[in-house]
Amino acid sequence: MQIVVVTESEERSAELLDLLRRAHMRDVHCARSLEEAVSVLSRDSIVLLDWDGDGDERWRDFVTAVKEKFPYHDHSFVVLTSADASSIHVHDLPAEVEVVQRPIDPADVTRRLERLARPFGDPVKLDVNHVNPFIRATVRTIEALTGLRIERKDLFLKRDYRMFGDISGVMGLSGTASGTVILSFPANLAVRLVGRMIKRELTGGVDHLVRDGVGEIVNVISGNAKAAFANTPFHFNISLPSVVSGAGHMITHKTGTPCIVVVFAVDGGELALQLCLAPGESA
Amino acid sequence: MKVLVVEDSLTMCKIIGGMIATDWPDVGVVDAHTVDEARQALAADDHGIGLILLDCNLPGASGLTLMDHLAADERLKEIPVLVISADLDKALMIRALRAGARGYLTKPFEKEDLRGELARFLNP
Repeated sequence: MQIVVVTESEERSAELLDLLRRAHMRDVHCARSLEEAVSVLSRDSIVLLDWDGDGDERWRDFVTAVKEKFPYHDHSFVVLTSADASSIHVHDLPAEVEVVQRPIDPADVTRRLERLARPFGDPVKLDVNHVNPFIRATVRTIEALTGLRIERKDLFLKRDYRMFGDISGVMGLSGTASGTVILSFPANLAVRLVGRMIKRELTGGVDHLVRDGVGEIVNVISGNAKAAFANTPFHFNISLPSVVSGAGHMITHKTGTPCIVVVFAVDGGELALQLCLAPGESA
Repeated sequence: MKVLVVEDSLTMCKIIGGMIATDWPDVGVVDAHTVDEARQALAADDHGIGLILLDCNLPGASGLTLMDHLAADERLKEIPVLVISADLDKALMIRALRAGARGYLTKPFEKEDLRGELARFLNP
């Protein structure tokens, strides 16, 4: 887990680096500006941001910019400030943000960082191998329906209980196992893929046809993956897909259910499959 | 002759309809998005529908209930039904075939597989 320390103050940089060293956090990078921080961030980072710009809310734009650069990954932020922490609202931000008012308690900051680094839900309940049928189904479905080559790029356990996207197909899974399968796209990629499905260039943005196409894609993926779990504690039934659209929409997960995200590359863009699956009682 | 496509996905209706229009331009296509719409289309039809493409996973009643409806109607029971489904569940496949389906095509289907199935019924 990469920790990125963002501060203009050398003194505070030294203070925070010492805190992290004592907490045995080794993958640490320093940035002197928000712009530099965006450039050094990896796909999986926690940002420790020292910010005392009273009334200056550029740090909020920074959080949004990080999310735009890494739309499917979980970046968490701990903002250290001299301002009144209770007056700073973070619930509208597309990431996990905690605000800590100075003077800081090193043990408190360390606990926050350790908690933010943990996967959401109990990962013991979810075998990473259970995602393989969904990966195969996604590749097969996208390639068959669009004629485009798709490649798996990344796979990780989610730390944030929320997923953000422009358009997402959602399939509820029920029965012996329960959970959700979500397939999220940036708007322009969804439009291009659905256009390929029906062999027509679509120019109207995310309209009812694109929403329908996204729903059908997640329907086919879920139906295909389902067969691999027959007669296991992870057997599930599928119903009808639903589609959520709107730039930067948020979808939350069932409390405690671990989630795996698989990011795929196709046609110059990226889409993400998010699987939350909890076994039945017999597991 | 007409093909009744019983499928709730607009996208899939366009894919199937587009293939039929290209390869069998003299064959008409009627879309129905639910079992109720399919029953209405069949009731209004005057022996033009000669093939039904049926998705099982539909809003409201399952697509397989349409097959019971067809079997119970002397006028409709001879219309061949080709099931198209994303569900690879073998039990569902067996149920569909036992209910009288003449074929079961799983999504995502290769275009050539769909074309081959359609050709069985649409080619003279």
